Amino acid sequence: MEPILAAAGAGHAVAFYAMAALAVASAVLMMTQRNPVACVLWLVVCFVGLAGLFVTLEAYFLAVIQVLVYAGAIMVLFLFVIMLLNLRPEDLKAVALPRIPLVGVVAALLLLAAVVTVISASRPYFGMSVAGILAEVGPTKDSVRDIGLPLFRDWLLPFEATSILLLAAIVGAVALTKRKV
Amino acid sequence: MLEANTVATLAYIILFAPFAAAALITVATLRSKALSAFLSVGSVILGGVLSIILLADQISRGAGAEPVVHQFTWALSRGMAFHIGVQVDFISVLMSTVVGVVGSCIFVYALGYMHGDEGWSRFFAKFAFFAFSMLGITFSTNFLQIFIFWELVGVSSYLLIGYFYQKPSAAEAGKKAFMTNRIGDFGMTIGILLLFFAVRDVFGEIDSLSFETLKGIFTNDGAREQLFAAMGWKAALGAFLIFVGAMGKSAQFPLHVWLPDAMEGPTPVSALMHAATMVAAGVYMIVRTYWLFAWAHDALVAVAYIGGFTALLAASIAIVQNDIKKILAYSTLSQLGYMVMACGLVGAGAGMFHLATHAFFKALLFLGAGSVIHACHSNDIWDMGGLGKKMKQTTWTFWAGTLALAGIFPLAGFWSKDEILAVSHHATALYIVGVGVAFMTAFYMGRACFTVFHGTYRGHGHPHESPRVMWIPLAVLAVVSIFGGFVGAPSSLNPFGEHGLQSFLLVAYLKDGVVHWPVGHGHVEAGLHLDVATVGTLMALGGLLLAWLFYGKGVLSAERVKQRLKPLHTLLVNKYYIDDFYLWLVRRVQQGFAIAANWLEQKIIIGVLVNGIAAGTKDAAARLRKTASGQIHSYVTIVLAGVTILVFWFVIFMVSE
Amino acid sequence: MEIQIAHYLVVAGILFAVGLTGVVVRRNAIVILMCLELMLNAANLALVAFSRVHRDMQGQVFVFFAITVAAAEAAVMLAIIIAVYRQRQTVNVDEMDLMQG
Repeated sequence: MEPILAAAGAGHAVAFYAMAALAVASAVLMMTQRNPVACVLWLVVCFVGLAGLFVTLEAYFLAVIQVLVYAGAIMVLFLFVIMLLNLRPEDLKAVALPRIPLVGVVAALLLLAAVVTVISASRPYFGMSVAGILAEVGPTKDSVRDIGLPLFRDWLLPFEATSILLLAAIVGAVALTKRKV
Repeated sequence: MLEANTVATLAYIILFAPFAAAALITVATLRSKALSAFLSVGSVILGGVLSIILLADQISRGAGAEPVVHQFTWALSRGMAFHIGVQVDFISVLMSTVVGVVGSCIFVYALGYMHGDEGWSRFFAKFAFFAFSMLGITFSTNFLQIFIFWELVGVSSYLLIGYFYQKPSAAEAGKKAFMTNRIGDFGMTIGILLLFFAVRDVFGEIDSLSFETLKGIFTNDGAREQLFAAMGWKAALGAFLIFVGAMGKSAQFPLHVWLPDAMEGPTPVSALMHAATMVAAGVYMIVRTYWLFAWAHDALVAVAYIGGFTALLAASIAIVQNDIKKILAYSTLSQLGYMVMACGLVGAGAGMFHLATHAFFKALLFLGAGSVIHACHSNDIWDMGGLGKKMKQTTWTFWAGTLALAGIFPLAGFWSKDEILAVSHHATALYIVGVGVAFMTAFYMGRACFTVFHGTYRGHGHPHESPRVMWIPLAVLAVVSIFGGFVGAPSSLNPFGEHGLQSFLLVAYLKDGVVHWPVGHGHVEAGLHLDVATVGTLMALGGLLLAWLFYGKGVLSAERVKQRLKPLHTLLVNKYYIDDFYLWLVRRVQQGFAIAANWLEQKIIIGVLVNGIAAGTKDAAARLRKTASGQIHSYVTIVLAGVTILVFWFVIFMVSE
Repeated sequence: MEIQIAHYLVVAGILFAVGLTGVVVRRNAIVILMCLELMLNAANLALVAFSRVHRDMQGQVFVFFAITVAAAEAAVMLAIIIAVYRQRQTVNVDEMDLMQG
C-alpha cells in the first residue's frame, strides 16, 4: 500500500500543520462552547484532526479506529445522553468564571512545564525527523497486521481482560441507569 | 518422706486453696454467709493441716535437705525467663505452718468476732485473699514472684485495714499503710533490678532472679567475690534496698508509722497482720535471701542497727499508750525490730524462730484484746479493769500470751528471745538494747494486764465472756504459746532433733551454718544460753514486778512519775513526733512540690502541650475542612497544582541532569 | 523544515492542557467528561509518536487498549451522570457537593 502522503518533504509538514491546527483549534472551541451539543461536534472534529495526525505517523489502523470508535460510537453516546437529559437553559452556563484566573495560570504553568520539558530534554530522539524514521522503516504494508500480531501474540491476555472490562462497563451502565433494581 | 511431686502438689494446694475460696466467694457465694465462711475458713484450715504434713516431711528429710522447687515458665523475653512456682524447704514450710495454724485460729475466731457484720462475705473473701498473698510470698521461688505477692499483700492489707471504709480514719489508715509500703517497695524494686542486672552482667544469661540460682552464686566463694568486684558499692546498696522493702512490710523505722494506724481494721485483721502475715513478710524475706545479706556485710550492719533502734523506739512508745490494740501494735513493732536486729547480727535462724513463736502469742494477744474490746465496747484500757473475774478464759489466755511475750521460762517467747539475745551478745550496744527492750516489754505488757484484768471495773455496761467460737482459738493459741518454745530446746524429746529447730534453720540459710562477719561470727549453738537466759529472765521479771508495783499493787504512782518526767512523757505520747514530722513533710515539702508540679501540669503540660496541640489541630482542621468543599473543581485544582509541582520537579532535577 | 517528534509532543501537550483546562473550568459534567476524553487522546498521540521513535508497535497496541478503556469509562460515567441527573435534576458539578467536609 502506497503511503497516502509523501513521507518526505514539504507535503508531510503541510499535512502535519494542517491537522495539528485543526485538532488544537477544535479542541479550544470544544472547551469554550456553551452548548454541549456544539462541544460534542467540535470534539468530533478534533478527533478527526487527531486521526489525521495518526495518518502522518502512518498509524493507519489507529486512525480508522479513532474515527470509527471515538467519533462514530463514543461521541454518539454522548449526544444521546445530552438529548436524553434535555437540559434546561440555566444548566448551560459554560464556564465557571471566578476560577478562571487561578486555573488559567495553573494550566498555563503546566503547559509551559510540558513544553520546557520537551525542549530542554537532551534525549536525542526528540529532534528526530519523523519523515526520516518513516523512510527508514519503509512503507507500511499492512497496518492491521502490524498491530494485530503483537496484540494477539504478546498481549492476548490483556486483550481478553479488556473484553471483560467492557462487559462489566455494559452491565454497570445498565445497572446504574435502571430505574428500579 | 514424700515424693518431690507430692510435696510440690501439696504446696500448690496450700497456696491456691485460699485463693480459690476468695474467688468463689466473690463470684458465687456473696449472698450466703454460711457458705462464704465455710469456704474461707475451710481453705485456711486445709492449708494448716497440709502445712503440718509438709513440716513433718521436712523433719524426716533432716536438716539441710535440698529444697523441692517446682516452677512454670511464666514469660520469656530476649533471653530472660521468668518463672512462677513453689519452693518447698524448711523455711517456707515453717512459715506456711505458722500462717496456716495461726491463720486457722484467727479465721475461726473471726466467725464469732464478725458476727452480724454486713460485709461478712466480703470480709472472708478478703481475709482468704490476704492469706493467699502471704502464702505466695512464703512459697516464692524467685524475686519477681515474691515481689508480685509482696504487692498483693500490700493490696489486701489496704482492703482489710480500710474494711470499715465508711469510717474516715479507717480509710485513711488503709491509705497510709499502702503508701508507706509503696516507699519500701520502691526501694525493693530498685534493689532487685540492681542485683538482677549485676548478676547477668557477670554470669550471663542465667535465671538471675531465682533464689536457688542466686544462693548457688552467693555461697560459692569464687563466684561471690567475682560479683562483689563487679558490683562494688552497688552490692551493699542493692542488698540494703531489698531490705528497704522488708522495712516497709515489717514496719521498721522510719517506715513503721503505718502499723499502729492499721489498728483501724477489724481485730482479726490486726491479729493476722501482726502475727502471721504482712509484718512477717519482711523478716521472712530477709531470712529467705539471707545469703545475699551475709554477702553484703555493710548492709547487714545497717539492718542490725535499724532493727535495734526500732525495737527500742517502739517499746518506749508502747509504755504510754492507752489503747489496748495500740499497745500491742507497738509491741509488734518492737518485736519485729528484735527479729530484724537478730537477722542483722547474723542470727537469721534466731529471727525466724522468734517470728514463728511471736506469731502464736501475738495472735493470741490480739484475739484476746479483741475479746476484751468485744465485751467492753472500748479500746481504752482505763475503761476496763477487773475483767479477770468476768472473762476467765480470756484472762488466762491473755496472761499466757503476756508471759510468753515477756519471755518467762518456759513459755515460747523465752526460747526465741534467748536465741536473739545470744546472737547479739557479741555486739554490746545492741545487746544492751535487747535487754532493755525485754525489760520494757515485760513492763508495758504487765501494765496492760494489771489494768485490764485486775482491780475494779471502770467502764460502763456489763462485760461477759465471749462465745465459745472466740475463746477456743484463744485456748489453742495459748497452749502453743506455752509449749511451742520447746521446739528450740535441746532435748531428745524434741521433734526437731537434739539441737532443736535451730539446727534446721541454720543450714537452711547458710550452706555450712557459718558466716564470717566483721563484728564476730554468726554461729550460735542451739539451745539454752545460761548467762543470757538469766539476764533476760531477770529483766522480764523485773519489768513485770515494776508493772505490778505501779498498776497492780498501786504502791508507786504512775501519775507522779508522769509529772516528774513530763517532757519525756509528752515525747512518748506524741510518738517522738515522727508522724508529725511526716505530716509536716507532706504538708510543706511534698505539698509545695505538688503545687509546683500541678502548675507545671496545668499550665505547661495541659495548657500548652495537650490543649495547645488539641487547639492547634482543631484550628488547622477548621481551616482545612474548607478545602474539602465537596466541589470537584476544587479537588481537581489541587491535584493540578500537585501535578504541576511534580512536573517542575521532574524538569529541574531529573531532565537537566 | 522537517517535522520532528518534538512537534507531535508539543501538539499532544497543548491538547492535554486544553482538556485539563476544560476539566477545571467547565461546570457541565458531560463537557468535563468530554475534556477528559480529549486528554486521553492527547496521551494517545504522544504514545503513537513514541511508538514511531522506538520502531515498536507496542505503543500502538497500548493506544488500542486506551481507546477500549476510554469507551468503557465513558459508558460508566455517562450512566452515573444519568443517575445523578435523575436524583438531583442537574448535571452542574457545582451543585454536587455531598462530600463537603
